[in-house]
Amino acid sequence: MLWKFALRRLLAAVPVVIGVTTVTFLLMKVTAGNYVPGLDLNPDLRPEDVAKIRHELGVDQPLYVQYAQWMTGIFLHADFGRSLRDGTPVLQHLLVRLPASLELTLTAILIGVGLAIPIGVVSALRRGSMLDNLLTGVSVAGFAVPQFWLGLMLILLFSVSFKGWGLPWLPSGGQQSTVGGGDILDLIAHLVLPATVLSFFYLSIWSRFVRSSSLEVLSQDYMRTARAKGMTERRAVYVHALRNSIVPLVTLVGLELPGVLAGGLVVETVFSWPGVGLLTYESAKSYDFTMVMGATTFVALAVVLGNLIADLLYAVLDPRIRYR
Amino acid sequence: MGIKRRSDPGFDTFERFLDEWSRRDFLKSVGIGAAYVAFMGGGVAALDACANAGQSGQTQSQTPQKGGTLIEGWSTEPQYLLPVRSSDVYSNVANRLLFEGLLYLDNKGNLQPNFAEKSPDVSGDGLTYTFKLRTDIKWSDGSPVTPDDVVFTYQLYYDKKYDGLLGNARPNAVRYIKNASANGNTIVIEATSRYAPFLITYGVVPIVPQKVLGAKTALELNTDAFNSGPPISNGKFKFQSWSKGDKLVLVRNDGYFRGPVNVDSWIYKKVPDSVAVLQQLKTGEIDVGRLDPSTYDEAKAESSLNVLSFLTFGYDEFVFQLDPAKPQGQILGDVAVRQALVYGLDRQAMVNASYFGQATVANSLIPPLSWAYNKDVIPKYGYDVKKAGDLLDSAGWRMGSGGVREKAGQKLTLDLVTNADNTVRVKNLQIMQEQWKKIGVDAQVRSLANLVQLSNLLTVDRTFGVLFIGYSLNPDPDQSGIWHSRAAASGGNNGGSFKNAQVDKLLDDAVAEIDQGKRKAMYTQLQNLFASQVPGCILCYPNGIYGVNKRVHGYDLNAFWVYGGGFSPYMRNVWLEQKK
Repeated sequence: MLWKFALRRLLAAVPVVIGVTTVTFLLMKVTAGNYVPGLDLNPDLRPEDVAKIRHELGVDQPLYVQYAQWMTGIFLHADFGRSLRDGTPVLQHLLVRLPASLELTLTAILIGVGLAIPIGVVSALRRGSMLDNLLTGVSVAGFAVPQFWLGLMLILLFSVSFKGWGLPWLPSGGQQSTVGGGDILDLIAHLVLPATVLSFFYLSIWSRFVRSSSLEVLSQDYMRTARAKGMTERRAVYVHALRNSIVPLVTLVGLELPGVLAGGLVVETVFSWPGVGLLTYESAKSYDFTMVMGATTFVALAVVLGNLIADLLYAVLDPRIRYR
Repeated sequence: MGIKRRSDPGFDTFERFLDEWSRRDFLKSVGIGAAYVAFMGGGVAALDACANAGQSGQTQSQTPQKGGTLIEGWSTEPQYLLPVRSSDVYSNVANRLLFEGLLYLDNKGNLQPNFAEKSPDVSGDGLTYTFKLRTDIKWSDGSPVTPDDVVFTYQLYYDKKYDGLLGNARPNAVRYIKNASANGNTIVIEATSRYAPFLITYGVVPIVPQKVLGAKTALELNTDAFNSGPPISNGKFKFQSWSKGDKLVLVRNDGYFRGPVNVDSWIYKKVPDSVAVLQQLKTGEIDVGRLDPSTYDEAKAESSLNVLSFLTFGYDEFVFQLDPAKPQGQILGDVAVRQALVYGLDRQAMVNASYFGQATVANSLIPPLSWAYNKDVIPKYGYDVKKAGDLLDSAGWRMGSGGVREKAGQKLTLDLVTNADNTVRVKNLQIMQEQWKKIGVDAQVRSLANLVQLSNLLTVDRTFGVLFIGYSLNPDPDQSGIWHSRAAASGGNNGGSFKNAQVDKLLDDAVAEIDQGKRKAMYTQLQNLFASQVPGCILCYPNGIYGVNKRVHGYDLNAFWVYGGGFSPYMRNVWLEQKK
């Protein structure tokens, strides 16, 4: 039964969530302590005012009380706490940033999947050829090259240099033009560079998986049978091999789904893409630890959910996997 | 006292701003495009030198055009739009365009009436300042700015009722403002004691609306929505939107009492870092951006940009730990050791290598732009390795094995700290480490992640030997907030615990003295005393470097007006060449 399977998975996720939140909470408390940004800039604050402010933020409570309050807030009231910097709800910040992250990561994943499958299959079919070696080289490079470096290089070439040479150029950052932006062409122009960098990373990994699973599938008995009964190679590959060889890809993409919410932190920072990743980075820099905690937990919950969905899809795609 | 820690440096040489300000140098150093800019702002009285304007390809009989959006790119985001709440210069860039005060600063650093009808009457004892509020000042919703708004605003700074309101403005204000009251259009502000920088500090307090904020408590104000989007304003612009992490948009306030500004809107755009600032200046994605000294040459070479470069009120320094209770304090407590460490540094080489020449080696703690600057400070410290060695020898630090000096079995090892996210400072520390090695000092470089941590180390934790930091200062020469023994209390900026009764007295007397001539004499003495005591080494005065797109006219930034200082009067004259 699918729903039983789903329920079982859901229950299994509970300890994971508790573990993740506890670790996040403790990690932030260990690094930031009960630091309140801004208090240190005002040396003449009277101790009673400091106490008042700390009480307001709840950081004067024992750790376990703070943890309990935080958890009840999240799970009973969907309240991820308030930013220490401007006092607005963390969730509000996250929701404002989410669409931008979704736009970027989903595009990157689509490009990644769209390219990883043909690249992987072609590599497998032409195993050992020049083409295979070339594609292998590209994907190793894509995995090895740091995203921030690739991002900066692309900005230098396609924004700064192209502009200097009088060629059509791509914007170096942001989700849309600062003034008068927002139309579809403008949005696409801004999306090209960050999505390229992010998808390059995805497709490098995924194409390797598709290649090896294709190789495995191609040597399966049922493939030989298909060929033996006179099916054309093309038809055998498309009908029998392809579907089976992308099964592991589903898991991998499922694992990346939470990344959709976290956004590519590095890519978002390099391209000043106003998503969740940039928010997390900026918050960490300014010691807004409720914000970092909120964002991390939000993403952690999404990881759990993403894996659950992947598991279900996996079962649907591959009939060998039975719901137990 | 308006001292703010600068999170990153920037800034270039352009002679001694006030003393040697001359049109010729100005034209030479920034080019005709920017000279026109200065002209528009009134910086140059009459620009007869327009004759050579042809070379820039700009037509000069340009009349200001209306409209357009000016985009400034900054790598640090503002935090609070409620002025009293903000402690960082970046917030001030924005909130000073929204809110203005009784007085403003002109381009010579003189106070001029703004919302006040005329300059205030000061009582004989220097304790009471009487202003007359103009009756034609309006909030952007059309209602008048009332004397009650003014009194309320000052209460936010000094009144006990607002204890607990965060931001670094209150501590000093509480010390010096006694009361504010209104009678009709007359506003009386009383000082607790004679305080020479009173007007330059508190005459320019940005007025905020009582009807919006009056009912809120200090704690509410700390995180009030006003900080992220004030519904009404009285300055050149009004708030439109702020998508945090991306951009803050202000639009022209047509009801501004000096008449609407030329541009339609002004945007503060968050740009990832200083590298991206230059990139986006080049692509035209931003119109104005502050540049890193390392990018100065590249920006100069870019034909679409004017590069403004000027000395500012501020310095980069390293402070010595003098507290004998700390292990490093025992070494550095000896003035001969401190002097030796300064003699042992080739500071010009540091300026060349770390600031790419865009800074001036400092001799005094008061910057050359100030009227109180003493250019003949005694002693002056040149680069003199031999003298450094002699001083250390005489202090008992003998060269030991491995090239490190020793005294009574203790090695001369120093702990050298700064924030890692500031590349100029990190580089400085590496050079210092290398140069001090030559005089037998073993310096261990330690980097903290960011300025927050460094501030905390300086003001609270204080377990450092030598700490490198930078300050942006008020135009007023008072630096009690950094060097007075009062600031050695926990939380203060005097993290090296420099306590010198004579320095304290000079600082206190100088702020209590209204006569500028007498003040100057005290500061001359202070500068000499500081130089001989070297509680810290003022390394250099870094310059402000700004790239401005040539389509922007009238962007006449100067040392008094950076970071919204004096309410950025030049913004009234800024206009944009419309794209054809």
